[in-house]
Amino acid sequence: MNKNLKDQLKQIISEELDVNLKLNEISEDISLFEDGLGLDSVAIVEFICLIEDRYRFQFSDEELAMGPFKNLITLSELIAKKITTDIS
Amino acid sequence: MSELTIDQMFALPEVQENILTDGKLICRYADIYEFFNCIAYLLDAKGVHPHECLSLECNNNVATALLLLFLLKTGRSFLLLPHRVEKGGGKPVIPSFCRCHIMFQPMQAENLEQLGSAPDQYMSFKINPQYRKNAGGLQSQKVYLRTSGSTGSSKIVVHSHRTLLQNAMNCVDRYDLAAEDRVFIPVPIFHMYGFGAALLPAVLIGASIDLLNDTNIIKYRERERQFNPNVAVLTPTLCEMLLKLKRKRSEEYKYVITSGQQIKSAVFRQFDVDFGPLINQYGSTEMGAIAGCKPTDSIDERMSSIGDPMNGVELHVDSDRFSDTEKPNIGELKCKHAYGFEGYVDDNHRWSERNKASVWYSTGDLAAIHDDGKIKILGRCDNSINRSGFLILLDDIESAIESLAQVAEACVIVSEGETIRGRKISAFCVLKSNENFNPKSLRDTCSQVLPKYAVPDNIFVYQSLPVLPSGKIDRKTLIKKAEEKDLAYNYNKEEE
Repeated sequence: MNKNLKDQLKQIISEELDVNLKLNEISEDISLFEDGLGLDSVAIVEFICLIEDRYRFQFSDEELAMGPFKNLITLSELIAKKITTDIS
Repeated sequence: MSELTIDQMFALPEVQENILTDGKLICRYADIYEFFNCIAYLLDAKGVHPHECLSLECNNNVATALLLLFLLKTGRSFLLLPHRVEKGGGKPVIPSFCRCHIMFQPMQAENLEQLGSAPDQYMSFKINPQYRKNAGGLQSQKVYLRTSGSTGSSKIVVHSHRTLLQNAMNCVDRYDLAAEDRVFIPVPIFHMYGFGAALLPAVLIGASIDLLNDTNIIKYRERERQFNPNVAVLTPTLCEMLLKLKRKRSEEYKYVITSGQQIKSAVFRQFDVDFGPLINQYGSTEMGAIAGCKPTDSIDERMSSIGDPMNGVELHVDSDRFSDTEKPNIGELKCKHAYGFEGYVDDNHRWSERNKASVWYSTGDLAAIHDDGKIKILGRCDNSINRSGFLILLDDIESAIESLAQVAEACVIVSEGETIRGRKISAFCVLKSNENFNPKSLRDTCSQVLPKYAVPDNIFVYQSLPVLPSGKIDRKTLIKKAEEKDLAYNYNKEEE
């Protein structure tokens, strides 16, 4: 499921964010921010809104932290946990 | 009145436990002198002479802040530069009058003892190969800042320590900043805004300070929860992103300062509700803080005016250039600032322009003066033209076009050539997704929201607009593009 999630997140970044990144340019283990994919605050907020809309949950304030938002691996882990928690 | 010094509060008992932090390191005001001693020893060991000018690549961290405070305390001259300034290549940004260049490495120290005992592990020194001894007129107690260059080539602005500190004290007084305040600074301290209007005022009053480096919205929220600030100094984009996240804080800010481009009124109002009083400070690299509303002013006042001039500042709206338009209360904003800059120097420290506090300085901003004497900034003078006898603000045309359902973003520029109405104007638009480009209908729709004389002569559609490193739209590139495409790809009225 996690792999699927990571691919979905990559797709959101390449197709729905205005960041000019192709699918094959997005590595799941590099930073989302300036030292990696280069998402700025505008793109990150857009990304968060798209994820929340797509998976129908809201990140808590504590979850909006550099740990979970380190890269697509950590982010997909958090999303998977939230989806599972919501279903259960 | 006795002269201000950067350490005027350091010894007071009530600020001893107040801190400077960057999330990793915490330095109490009580410990600052200890670090000054370490830095003095290090500079001496590196052969840095007290009378030479240093160039510094600034990070928003405790080590950089302490070095800056030390240089101010000891009357040394220095130039502020962004981190990794040389990475981009191109023309050297370190002028020939700076012999020694200091860079800050990623912070390895985990506590103050480590920071103090081995400062050369996080500060590296490089001798500027372009250095020229005896560069003209170099003096002590100066701070040099490079302008962003978004409205021309980058210039070196000269401030004196004395006026810079007075300028910062103006901010303390205007916003009623107090030692018990906790000031969050996520804007870069190599800019006048972060340095002169955020860091220095907070240090002058002995407030606690949190410096955030390489700011992004996630880092911001994380550190905001940890530091729990009651004052923040932000950019308009950060304000907007905080709102878009739709997460309120449990406590309101005492106030939030922003500066730069105008904030849309809906955003301004919502920010006030969700986060606390927002103040759009008016200032520049050259003049520092020029004017600002008080946090206690009504929201309408804070939205519609730049507030009263700071102490030592006089403002005047000069409508001479615009006298043939129908708006007599509009003109270029000029100011006299007792604590403004001294002038511009070139890379060899030759003065290219001197500023005098007694002479009106042209801000380049277009302003309107209301009947009650309050001043509102309308945009840049360069972004306004006279067509058919009417003063047109390009910003107004952009807002009108952006109000159309089809348009996501618009930028309007004055391009080469004349039409019957006056100088030609072109609009560059980014359409909302799924909108088909139809230049005629788009231009026709513009006529619904704009008077005839303000409808752009050309409309171009782009996927996205080019931006400068500062995030502002690159108008120069658009002007070039308009000229290139003028004949090949446009819709203009004469062709109808």
